[in-house]
Amino acid sequence: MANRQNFGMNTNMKINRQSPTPLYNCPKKPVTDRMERMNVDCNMGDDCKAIMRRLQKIDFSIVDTVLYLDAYPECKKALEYYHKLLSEREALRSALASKCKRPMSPFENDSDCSWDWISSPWPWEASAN
Amino acid sequence: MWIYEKKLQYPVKIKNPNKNYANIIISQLGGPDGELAASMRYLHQRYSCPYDKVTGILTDVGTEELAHLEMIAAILYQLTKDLTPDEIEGSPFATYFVDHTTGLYPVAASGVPFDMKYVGVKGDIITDLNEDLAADAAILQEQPLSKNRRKALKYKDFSHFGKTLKNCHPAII
Repeated sequence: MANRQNFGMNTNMKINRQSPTPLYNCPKKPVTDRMERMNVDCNMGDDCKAIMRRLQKIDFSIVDTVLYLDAYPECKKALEYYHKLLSEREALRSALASKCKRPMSPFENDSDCSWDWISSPWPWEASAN
Repeated sequence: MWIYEKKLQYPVKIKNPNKNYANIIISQLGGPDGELAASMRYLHQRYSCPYDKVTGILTDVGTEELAHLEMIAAILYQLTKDLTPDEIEGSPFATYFVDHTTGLYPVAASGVPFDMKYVGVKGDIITDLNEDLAADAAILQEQPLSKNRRKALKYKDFSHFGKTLKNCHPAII
């Protein structure tokens, strides 16, 4: 066609902008607004509360074990205990990220559609505890 | 480097806010024996430390003190966020409020803002560990509040004291 420029590329790429193809099957309006989030009952159901408590207990133990291993790095028993705790920690963290929409780090946002890292409750708020 | 975990080390859920505690607890945030001082102390001492085990402890304990700092901030946030002007006026919290409202600014209970002068970093590991012993021992002198979260912090700081003591041995060899 006369008015189509070819930048030397062998494609049928159109210059005119089209609306972007949706990559993910996202719902129309993800709940990211803080005020709205308080009405959405997904973050602290009883299950999620129990998972969070368990993770806090496990992490408390892991921190103590880490400090022990820092001073006694040759202790095989401690290292074994550490790995045992670590595997449970992984399971709990992925459950929190996927089921409860509460990623523990910005590297664990599970959803393709929502940035739960900022929309999940902040730790100093009462609703997060 | 640091990665932030979006949870408190120990949960904080204040059911009955008592405004009179806020003025005292603020010292744990920005006072000479508070968590900010502790984390700055440990994290800065590790750079000149020649022993792996001790560097490891200074790194991990320093990071943990940052987590404690966050817990204290959470306590203060929940204690003060719903205070009415009537409750604030005339309370010891009023002088803090006039400059910071319900924002969290690290000061001591006396009103002195956080100061790195509370922290000693001398580049010699024995000296630095002695500084750490003095700092953590100071925590043991504090009045225990009858709350579980305060007990949890006290346990942690007490065990830091023990670990610092033990670490003097590899450092002295």
